[in-house]
Amino acid sequence: MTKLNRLGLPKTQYSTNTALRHAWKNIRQRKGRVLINGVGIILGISFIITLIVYSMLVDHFDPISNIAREQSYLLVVGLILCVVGVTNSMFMEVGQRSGEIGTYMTLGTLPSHVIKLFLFESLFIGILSGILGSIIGVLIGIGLTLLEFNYESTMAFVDTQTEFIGLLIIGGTVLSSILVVLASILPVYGASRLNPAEALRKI
Amino acid sequence: MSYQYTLKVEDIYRTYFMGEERVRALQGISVQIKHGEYVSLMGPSGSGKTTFFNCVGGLDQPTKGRVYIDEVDIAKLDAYELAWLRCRKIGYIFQTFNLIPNLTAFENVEMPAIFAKKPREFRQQKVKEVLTLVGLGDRMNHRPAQLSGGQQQRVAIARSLVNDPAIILADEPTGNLDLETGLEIITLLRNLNSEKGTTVLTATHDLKMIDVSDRIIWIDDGKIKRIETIHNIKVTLAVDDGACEDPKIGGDQ
Repeated sequence: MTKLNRLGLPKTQYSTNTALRHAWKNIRQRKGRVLINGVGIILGISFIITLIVYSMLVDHFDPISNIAREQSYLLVVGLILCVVGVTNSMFMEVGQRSGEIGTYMTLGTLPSHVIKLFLFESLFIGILSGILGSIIGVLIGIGLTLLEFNYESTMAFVDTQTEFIGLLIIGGTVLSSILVVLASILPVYGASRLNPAEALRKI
Repeated sequence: MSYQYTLKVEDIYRTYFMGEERVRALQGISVQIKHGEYVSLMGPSGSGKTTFFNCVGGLDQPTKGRVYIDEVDIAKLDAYELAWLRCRKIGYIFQTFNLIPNLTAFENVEMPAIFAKKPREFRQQKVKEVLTLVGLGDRMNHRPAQLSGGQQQRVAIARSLVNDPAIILADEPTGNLDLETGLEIITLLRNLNSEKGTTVLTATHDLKMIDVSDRIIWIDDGKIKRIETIHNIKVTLAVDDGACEDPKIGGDQ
């Protein structure tokens, strides 16, 4: 049943299915902008995955290297850079689209509808960038190992680790999605609180 | 249900600050617009037209005074109710068209009906009906970038009509259009007003709007200077009292 408010008026609606459809459409139509946002995330995730794969392989061939511990600092820096980069991109994105947000408001959206649409867009960017970044990271990690160790023995070890690498790609994608959504919350929340007249002035 | 006054504005003021400077954009405006009327708010740039438009459209809060749409005091509405009012009771048309660039004409027009929770079949039928009404039955799947300025404004008009609003608020609807296309849009708005009984309030400095308006409200410096009917204004122009000679009117065109 439609929830009624103080004057007995029904609330305006924006179903999750429709928001997902619109978010996906926005992603497809704005490839250039999405690519710019995505490149930062792809680089961040591939950097993190490269470090994990490379240290796993080096640890296998040279157990006394202790490389994983040494590189944990770089991992944290990679994560922070990724979040800061995405937050910055999302602030710019939201700023550029404030006129569009104002238009949505004149059509009857609630702040929660704007949040829903933008967070779904971020989620899609996070998933796509995460898959790509993780695959690139795995390839670079293996490539760096090949510079130092024998091809056959490296590839033979990689073959025994396919399940772990698969999990790493899934993990990288989940991490990317979470990071992008978290980094988007602040700018998107700000966008949803805009005064419609103010937002429309920015067209 | 139709009320005596679709829009009633009682003594509204709007003051805001630009840096240190206090701007009195509206200084005590009162207007009553009956159901089915076509009213134009005329005045030069900076006279307060858009501020008035924003205040009566629930996009901005007046500093003082009351705005009633279909006898509902919009100052008493919470965020949810205001969203409902914008969705169901008001249709907006802007100078810059304000279409969602990634959506087709059909999807743009469908948006307010989605928010109003209209069933899918009803939406499909209604969107086709209003797009055909504005002469875009064959352009439904085009995106805004694939349409001319006049066609984009027609999509915006169709979007404003899709939920059968109590009033259409058009802020400079011809401001970004050439003379001929502007005239087509004005005629379209007037036809919708006469045939469907839609109440229309336009904020404009386009003098072509005079011919189609039932009443013209002249504002300047945030105050109403005079209110004239279409009949009065023709007489006024004939005696040349300077109503159209004011260099500030139409100054941006």
